[in-house]
Amino acid sequence: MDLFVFFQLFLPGLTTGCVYALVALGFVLTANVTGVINFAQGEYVMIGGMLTAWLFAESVPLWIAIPAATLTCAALAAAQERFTLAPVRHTPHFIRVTITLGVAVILRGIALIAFGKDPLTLPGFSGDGVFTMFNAILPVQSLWVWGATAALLAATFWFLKYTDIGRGVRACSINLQAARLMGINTERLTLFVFAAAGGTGALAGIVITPIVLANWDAGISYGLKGFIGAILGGLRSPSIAVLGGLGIGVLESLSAGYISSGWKDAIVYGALIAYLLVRGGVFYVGRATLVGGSREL
Amino acid sequence: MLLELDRVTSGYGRLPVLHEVSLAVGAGEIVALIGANGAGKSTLLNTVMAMVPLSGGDIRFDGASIAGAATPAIVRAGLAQVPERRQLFGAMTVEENLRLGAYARADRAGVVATLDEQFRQFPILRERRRQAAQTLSGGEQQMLAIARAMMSRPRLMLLDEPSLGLAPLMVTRIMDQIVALRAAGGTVLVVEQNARAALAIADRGYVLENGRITVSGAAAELLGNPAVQEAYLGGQGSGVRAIETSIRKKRRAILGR
Amino acid sequence: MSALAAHKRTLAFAAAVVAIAIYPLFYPGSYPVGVGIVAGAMAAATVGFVLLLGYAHQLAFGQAGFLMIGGYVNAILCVNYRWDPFAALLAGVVVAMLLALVIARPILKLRGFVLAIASLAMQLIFIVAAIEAVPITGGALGTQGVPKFAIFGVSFANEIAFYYAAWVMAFICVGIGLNIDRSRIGRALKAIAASETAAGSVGIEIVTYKVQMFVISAGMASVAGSLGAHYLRAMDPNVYGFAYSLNLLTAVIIGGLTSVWGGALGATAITGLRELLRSLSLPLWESVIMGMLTVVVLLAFPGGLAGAIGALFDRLTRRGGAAAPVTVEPDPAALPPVTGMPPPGTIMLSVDGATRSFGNLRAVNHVSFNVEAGSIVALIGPNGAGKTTLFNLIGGYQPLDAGTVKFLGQPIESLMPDDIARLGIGRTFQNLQLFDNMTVLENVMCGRFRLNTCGILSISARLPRVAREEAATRRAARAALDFVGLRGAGDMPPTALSFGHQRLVEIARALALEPKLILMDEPASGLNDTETERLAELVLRIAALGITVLLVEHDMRVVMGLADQLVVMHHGEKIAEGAPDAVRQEPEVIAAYLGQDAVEPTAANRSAQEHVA
Repeated sequence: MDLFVFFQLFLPGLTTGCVYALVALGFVLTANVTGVINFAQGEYVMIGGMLTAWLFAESVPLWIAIPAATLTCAALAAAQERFTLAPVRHTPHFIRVTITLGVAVILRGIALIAFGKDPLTLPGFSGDGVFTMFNAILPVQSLWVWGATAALLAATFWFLKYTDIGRGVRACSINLQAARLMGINTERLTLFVFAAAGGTGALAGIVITPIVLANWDAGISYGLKGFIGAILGGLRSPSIAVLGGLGIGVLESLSAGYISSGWKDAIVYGALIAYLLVRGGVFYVGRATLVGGSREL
Repeated sequence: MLLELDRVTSGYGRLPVLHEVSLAVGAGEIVALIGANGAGKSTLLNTVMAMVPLSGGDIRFDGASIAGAATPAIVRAGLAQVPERRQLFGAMTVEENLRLGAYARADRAGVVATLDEQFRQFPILRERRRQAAQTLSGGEQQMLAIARAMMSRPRLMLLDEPSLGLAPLMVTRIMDQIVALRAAGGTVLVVEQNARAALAIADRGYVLENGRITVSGAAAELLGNPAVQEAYLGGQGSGVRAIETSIRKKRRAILGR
Repeated sequence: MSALAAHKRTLAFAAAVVAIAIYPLFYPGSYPVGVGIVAGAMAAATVGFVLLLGYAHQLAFGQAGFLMIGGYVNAILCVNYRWDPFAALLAGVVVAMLLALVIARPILKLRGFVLAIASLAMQLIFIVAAIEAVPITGGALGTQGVPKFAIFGVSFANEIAFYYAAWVMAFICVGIGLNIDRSRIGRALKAIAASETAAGSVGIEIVTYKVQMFVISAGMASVAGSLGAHYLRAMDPNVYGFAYSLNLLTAVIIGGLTSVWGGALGATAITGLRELLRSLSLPLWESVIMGMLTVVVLLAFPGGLAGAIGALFDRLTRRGGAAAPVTVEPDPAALPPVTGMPPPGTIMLSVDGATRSFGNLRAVNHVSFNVEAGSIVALIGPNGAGKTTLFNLIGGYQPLDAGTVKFLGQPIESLMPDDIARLGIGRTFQNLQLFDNMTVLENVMCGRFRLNTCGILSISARLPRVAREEAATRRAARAALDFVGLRGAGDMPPTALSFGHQRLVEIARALALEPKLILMDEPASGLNDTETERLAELVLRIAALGITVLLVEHDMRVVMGLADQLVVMHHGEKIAEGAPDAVRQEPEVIAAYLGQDAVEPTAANRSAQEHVA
């Protein structure tokens, strides 16, 4: 195998994988606290990128555009939880999942109306130059993507491990009832987790935009691939979900390079289906919501 | 009275469990609530903590009604529950579990002091502070559950079946801890199916049967009361047993045996 | 179903047919008729989707993939092989259904959002395949030059004729859907949605019906895809992409998830709405508005348009007076004694060495006991003794780690709950597992499942024997309701009944399957004293029919009064067995229930404890 070609595929794969990893992390945290997979998760990535690029084009400086877009997505995600999920906490699961899909459609539509059909772009944060690594030529922005992802992951894991609220989030995802008995306001915490997941997704979308452009219909793909990463982690472990997301990015890039760029999505989705069929569909997600399996009560 | 239940009715969805239950716990008391499984003992504790909605009656803590309050507010008011089957956060460490117990407290320095206090009370927990809670033995897990509840410095501790699944020697040890809680100025309402163990340490007791309090009194009296054994195993002595007799009569009529 | 409801349904149906028939008379232009064709095609696709999503709650979001399969098969056969369009349409249906059959079993093992994702992934794979398989599909440019629709040479070149053809096909799909809806399969789907646990307990083969609906839904989607290809005169990968899946979803949600014709209504509404937006030059708003409609309808009007129309009808046609009172006097003669019972004394159920652990906990440890035919046996023990686990092992809800369970000599420990139910073992649940989305009578009719024989084909066509079987099922279900004393409650939703009466519905449902053995999990829990006594009498009446009863119960008055034999469990083990009065005296049983005498801690044993800890 030509090592040069391999790295020229592997490293960009790792870069997109960073986005999937952050989406996967958001999936795991929200799913474990609410018991629902949020189909709109990928849309926050899209809106983060689109909104920043649009603001920048309207000559808003990046250091304002980036926090503004991030906070907007956090607020949108919090609003989604508050107005479309919290009121229906006790309705059947399939309705709640479908509602998140409906919200995804709304967000796509809003992006289309607000930003138009054409892809938007951003300049690299430190220029549009390239650098070489293992002989592979990469845009300098890749360093920003890797750095931002590493920083966000470190911050998230630190937060979960060492702060009261972070421990509360973990407690909620292990046993919501017991968490309430500790005096944790689980409603408020759920809202917080949604906002954090929305904001993280937006940041991922922002740092990747100088490399891949921002497109109004990119959310579904980010969502599905991030979800695959999350599923590889059994929807339980945030760290394995992150690895899963990175792995999906690499798999996608390698199959595009070695097999066919047209088939790359089919290969990734096929791998998901194959994995699910081998593994079985039983996932225990927060509140012990049982998904799949056929013998359990 | 520190805790007063006044004709409390509650249940799960369509399943009514408690029917007009009245009960009181005075400051500094150990009160045992005993009864067979399915009688509604856990439901009663869960209703006090607002984990099960109250559908009738009133609950007062220290004179003020807590009916309709949310669980976090009840915890802040000074109640803590050690839930049935412990409900630890299994994948988290012993220390994290303990710190979660103090989630509702604002005084960081005080939390550290309480943590230290619990480690003194349960030295085994200090040894295992970095271990995941799920790796502890059953008895150690029960101690952790008690210590976790103590972290909020509750004025009233509700214990749900602390003896469940424990070997007899361990049961004695847990009961000793409950006595120690009271000695340190605490108040305890303990729910037990193991009536003998619970009544041995309690001041007073209530017997819950099919969602109703049928007998109550001083713990020592209850231990010798035949009605208590009947509550668990039935018998034909008292009027409460009329149903069994009547069912037997019907059985002879319908099945001839 | 009451006469009024039947009347209502006919009226609504007739109104819809008339509206669709006269539409081209008012809008004869080729564009509006074309819109009508698109609506008709989508209506056909919604029917199967409603059954799958709305009835069985299976989140197969990627069903638009099968429109694409149908469209491509049709287009390729017509363009490359000069097939007759109608023959090609039928071929498309066959291909889509075969493909669905292959995919269904593995994919429907997944549930909830996992199924949703897998299903969307499947659709996206179809799209990639269509783009990449250039020699077959024409790639991204698609297959052009699809002829106008024709049926065996008779051309439907006239748009209006094609419009009617499309809607006739849509109505055939609706008809099949309605036939399924009011059959045992419709009940099975609703049962699966309400509680898979209870569906298994009456012998419903859960996977089979999910697969059938998946396949039927694929076939109907394929019809829609073919019609679309003939209307567009081309087929390309973008027609039935993610956006179409979402429109299909919005259509069934707006139309009403629990009504077969609601989907058709929704399809019409969606298509009309899109045209409206286009005429207002707001095509970009389509996605936002569709999403809003989905979310708002799900949040606020889960019944959709069909539900709203149904409610309006009810209000307009409501007759005074409350529902008929529920008779509470059971009729012991309503059910005949069970025939073909093994003679008393035969071993009906034999549990041998049953063991089940959860992690380190031996929930059930080597438990053995027999249940004799015709007897009433009660399983008792303190909290956490393992009674419920043992019950679930017998019912097939959990696998055994070791040991055997035999029913009339046949090993059943490896069977699933529905297999066990079909052998003639009925079951009731402690926390009530009724199907709230059906009437009381329909709930009990579900119990007849193992005794019904009509399959999906005869039901789709509503052959005469289907109607005969339905009538017989209804009669038997009414008899079971009479037996438990719920005559008159048949048309009510279970939630309108008191808790005690709901428990009787569950018992009637278990009796409807004409069981040899009935398993009852805490039948007296949640009942007051009067209800408890009535329940005990009912259990005796059931035993008098010759049915063997095994129950878990904590109300000792009931257990001691009813049972011939007790099996006492403690810490997962059997500690005693025998007649009630004997068991009650055993010191080990008393100790298990009341606990050991608490040992006063002494210095000596305290130091011993230190070592243990």
